Amino acid sequence: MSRNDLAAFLSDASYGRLNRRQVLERGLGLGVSSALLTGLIAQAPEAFAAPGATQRSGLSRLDQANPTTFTTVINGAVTDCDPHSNYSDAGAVVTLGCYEMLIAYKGTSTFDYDPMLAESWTASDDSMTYTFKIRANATFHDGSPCTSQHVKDSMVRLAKLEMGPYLVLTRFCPDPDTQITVPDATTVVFAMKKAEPLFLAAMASSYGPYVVNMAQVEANKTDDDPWAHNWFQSKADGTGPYKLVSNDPADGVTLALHDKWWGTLPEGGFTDVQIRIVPENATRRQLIENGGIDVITNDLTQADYAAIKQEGKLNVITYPTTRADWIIFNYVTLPVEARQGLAWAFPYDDVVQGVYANTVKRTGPITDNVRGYDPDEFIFTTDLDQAKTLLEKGGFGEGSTITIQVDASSENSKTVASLFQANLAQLGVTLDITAVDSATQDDTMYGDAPAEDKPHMVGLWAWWPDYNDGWNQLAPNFLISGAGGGGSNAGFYNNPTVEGRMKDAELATDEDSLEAALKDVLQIIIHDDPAAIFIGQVEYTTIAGKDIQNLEFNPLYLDQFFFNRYARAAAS
Amino acid sequence: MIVRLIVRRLLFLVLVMFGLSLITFTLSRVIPADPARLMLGPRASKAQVDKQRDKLGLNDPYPRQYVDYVWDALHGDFGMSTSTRRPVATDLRQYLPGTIEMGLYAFIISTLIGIPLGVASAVRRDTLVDHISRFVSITGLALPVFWLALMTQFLFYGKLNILPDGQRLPIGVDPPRPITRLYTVDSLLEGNFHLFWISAQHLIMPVMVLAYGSLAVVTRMVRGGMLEVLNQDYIRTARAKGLANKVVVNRHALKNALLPTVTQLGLQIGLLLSGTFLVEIIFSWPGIGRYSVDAITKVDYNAIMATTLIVAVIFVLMNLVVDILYLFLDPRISY
Amino acid sequence: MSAEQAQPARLSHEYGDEAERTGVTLGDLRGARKAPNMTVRNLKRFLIGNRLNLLGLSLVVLFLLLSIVGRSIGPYDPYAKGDIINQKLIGPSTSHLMGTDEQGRDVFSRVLAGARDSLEVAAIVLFFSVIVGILVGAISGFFGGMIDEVMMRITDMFLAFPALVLAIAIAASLGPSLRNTMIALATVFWPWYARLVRGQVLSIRERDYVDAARSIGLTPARILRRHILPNAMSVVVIQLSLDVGYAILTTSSLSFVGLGAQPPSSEWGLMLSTARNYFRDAWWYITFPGVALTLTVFAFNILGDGVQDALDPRSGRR
Repeated sequence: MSRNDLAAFLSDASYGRLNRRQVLERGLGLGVSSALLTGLIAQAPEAFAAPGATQRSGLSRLDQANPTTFTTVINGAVTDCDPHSNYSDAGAVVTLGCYEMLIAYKGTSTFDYDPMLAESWTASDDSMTYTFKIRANATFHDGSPCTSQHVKDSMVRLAKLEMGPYLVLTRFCPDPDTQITVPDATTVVFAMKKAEPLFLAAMASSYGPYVVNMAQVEANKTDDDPWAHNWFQSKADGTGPYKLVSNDPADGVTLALHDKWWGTLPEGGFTDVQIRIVPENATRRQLIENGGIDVITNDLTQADYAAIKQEGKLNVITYPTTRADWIIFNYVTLPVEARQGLAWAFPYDDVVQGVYANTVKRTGPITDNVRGYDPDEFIFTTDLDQAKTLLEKGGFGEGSTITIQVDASSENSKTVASLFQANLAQLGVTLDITAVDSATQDDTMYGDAPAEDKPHMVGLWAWWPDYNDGWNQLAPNFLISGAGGGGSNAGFYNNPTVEGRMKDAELATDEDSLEAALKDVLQIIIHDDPAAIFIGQVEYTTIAGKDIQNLEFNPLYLDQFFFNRYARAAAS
Repeated sequence: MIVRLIVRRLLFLVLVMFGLSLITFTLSRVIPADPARLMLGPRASKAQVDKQRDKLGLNDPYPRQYVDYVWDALHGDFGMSTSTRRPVATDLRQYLPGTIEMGLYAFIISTLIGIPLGVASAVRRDTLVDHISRFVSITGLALPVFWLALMTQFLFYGKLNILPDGQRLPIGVDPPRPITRLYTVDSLLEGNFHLFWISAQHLIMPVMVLAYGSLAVVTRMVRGGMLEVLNQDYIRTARAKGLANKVVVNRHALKNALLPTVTQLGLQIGLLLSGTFLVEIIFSWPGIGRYSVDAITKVDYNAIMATTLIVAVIFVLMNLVVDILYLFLDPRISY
Repeated sequence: MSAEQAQPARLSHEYGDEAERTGVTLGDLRGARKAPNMTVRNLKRFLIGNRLNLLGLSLVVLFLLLSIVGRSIGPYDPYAKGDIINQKLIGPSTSHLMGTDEQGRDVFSRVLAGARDSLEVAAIVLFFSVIVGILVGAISGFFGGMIDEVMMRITDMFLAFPALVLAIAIAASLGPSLRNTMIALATVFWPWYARLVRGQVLSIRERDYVDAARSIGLTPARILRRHILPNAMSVVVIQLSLDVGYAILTTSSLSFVGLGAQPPSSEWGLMLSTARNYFRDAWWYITFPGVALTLTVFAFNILGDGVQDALDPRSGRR
């Protein structure tokens, strides 16, 4: 019997979650000593009055009968659990619990790696060959062992499915069929076509490079669906520490410990995970304050965080992320002077202190923990005189009207726009704010309407990279290939020098040339030919009950959890 | 006459649904967003989005899309929801009973309290009862529903912790065997009083909040109708004849005052059953109001169509009931 | 025998024993036949007869005045930039009677300025709804038969109409603005009036004075206008007084999808929907606009009651 099984059983039994029959059955199955069994049976209830009667209800405060259940909330449904197509942070809550990548970013670092499914790895000096050693005891949820062949086939599936995050792999490994070899059951070798210093960074991404149980693909594929995408959308079978028990678009997700998982839970670890869907901010706040949930990450307002912090009954953890916020310029309808003028006119202090409550650090689009960050990059400040001159030059001087479109469901966007409106009013320029519904905002972002039909500015926009790579952060947003539905280049930004240097960055064979190329790009898109008004690097806040331990958040794994690492301190 | 009325009404229902489906179809296509893009998220590539559009049939010409939809619907297939990735029929089966259970109780309470309150208010005009009922009416109409819901939740769950924060049942508790899919009813039918009590607890706050608003409208309408009728000749006549006030009120006045009230009730219940989005959001209630608004913001065509048509059916049926009631309330009426 | 002399027999047939016993005559009907109007006597009675009416009327006048001057009489400029860093979300004080909002702006000034936008919303939405609703309901109820069936089914369609879809579609094609939102809302408000009016008309058209009017040869339009509608107006007035608040609140509930008033407007509904995010820690932000709205609803309720009384055709007999 595994230590985990026993731990789980003892925990369940001693907290009264099992009735007598269940104690007997499970205890016998685990080979628990008869003395212990007798004792446990004696204190277990005969049967339960109603199904699930000992489960946590929204009614009770932190219920000591279920200390091994971890609860949190998300604010929308997880509609796609397929790790090879999911590209949303909500979905990653599930994929990171049920599946594993070969490696993961270590702790809070964005440059170092921890073993995950692979217990060790080596990279050749020329960055062209990467060898991973898979754990011998890694097992899928259906009990079958995970081999290197599964790893290779999973990568092929990711590439061939061509959905969501497939470029995370295929940028480096476009032909996994031929580029991956499996010399033995626990070794996987990736052969790159050129030097790829960033390959490990990509393999640690929580979007894409997961290993799935190919037996399920075999069992559930059809002619229309040769990779069993439909099955994986609602079910899961990976090597990860949790099995997917249920996923309901209204009620949420439940996970339960995979008893054959290769790892071990810490003392007080969680055998069950409940992720509720709670769309209302005020309700989420009450849940965390009342102990109805254990942890909430980035799903409350700054005002809520301040109030909770002041009350002091919960842990408030703030941490840097790789996310940067900005307001997109319409490159076609705003000449460069106008854009620079607007960048000078923006009320940075008011926004940083008043809207973000100082949780944002002024940077460009690449945050300080991502490759390519330039600590000497140009940072705009509010200078209305410069703004006035430049706006005049750009043809948007006094008496003109500029338009900005914001998402109506984002209070922050509306406030930022209002503050900007007030600043521009001081220069005699009218800023027309149009708040639209999310769908229309999306259409403005990705639709193929010509730039002339779009507003002058669109905000607030936020982006973070798939893995630690500045090129990956900039490409979808500032290359012309990302315009008109190809990415998020809503402003149709198109600067030839940027295009050239970005190509250099993409093909860079060492980190130094990558950084040099990105440095040039940043100078242009921030200052010389502004693509946006960059607010900067955002800090997230997580609120947790004081009894939850080992909580640590990585700047790249936004809104995601490693449930198996956390623990609940025993009640004193 | 009633049978003829019902038959005629049901035939027209079919026409109403066709008309509404056409209008809704057209309007939702006017919204500029792309459901495929919304499904796949911001990081998906254009190629992926186009592939998805093909799969969803969105690149077909509009008339073809409409005809396909109607044809499938007539065969009971309401398509897949792009927001939940499940068949719309499954979504409806899950969410409609949630709203119905909540709306029905709210309606019953607001009617059982509202009508007597309105009557008392009219008969005892300008007394304490009247002032209370007018206070209820005004606050019920002017207080934003979300404020009432948030305050109630904050008070009873946040501070006092005697009611759950929301949902129909706590996580981990299985619903009763689905017969009506109204948890309170089904659990009673099963004899499971514990489950009945749990579902009831979860219903208390949303029902209270909805009933308060509905109550305000009903009370006001009854009061107004009664006041008008009480001044009319035949009432004065009846009183002059020496009939007891109670008889006057109940037999003569109420029946006539009920006419506009019943109209209002029919509209109210239609409103309650089509779901109130804000209450469902605040109480994390899996209902049709929330589902339909989500569908609209995600431009989920199939879900938008289905929810609109359901609401149409509800209103047509409610108005049919009201029209039948008219016949009993005022025998002079004929259609 | 004149038509008049033939009437009493029909009366007793309809009213049964009561008519005979109480001797309701055609003379009484004459009084009923006359369309009620706001004579000077009625007006005086309406205003002075009741302190509550006076209060309601004064409040309404106050709001109308506010809607004209509200933007300029507050202590601060309602649309100017607030001091978001230092003055954000501060409770009521001597310098800010109703506290400050999330941008540091004075709530009191913004509430005063918002009267205009809010009343405008209610006025436009309800005006159109009432006109269309009365027309549809009256024609439908009076003529009955297939006309009634078809018009009521069209009404059902509009009741079931996905207002939000319409509003977003309008906003997408014509631009999201308060005016366009009001158009969308009027489209879904009128069915209520239509149903209510129709119900009343169905009942009233069977009454004898209507028959009498018909038999003398009055045109349907005339009958509707002079005999039926005035008696049905009571219901409309009640519903109107109910709907003032409802129209404003519905507009506000659309602001989460970008419809309704746009910043920097201080329309009460928009203020309420923004204040919702701060309701835990900034009670004043949601309370004061809410109180303003409640007072407005109260005022129109009272006014509505008063108008109902004054329009009562039998008011002269009190």
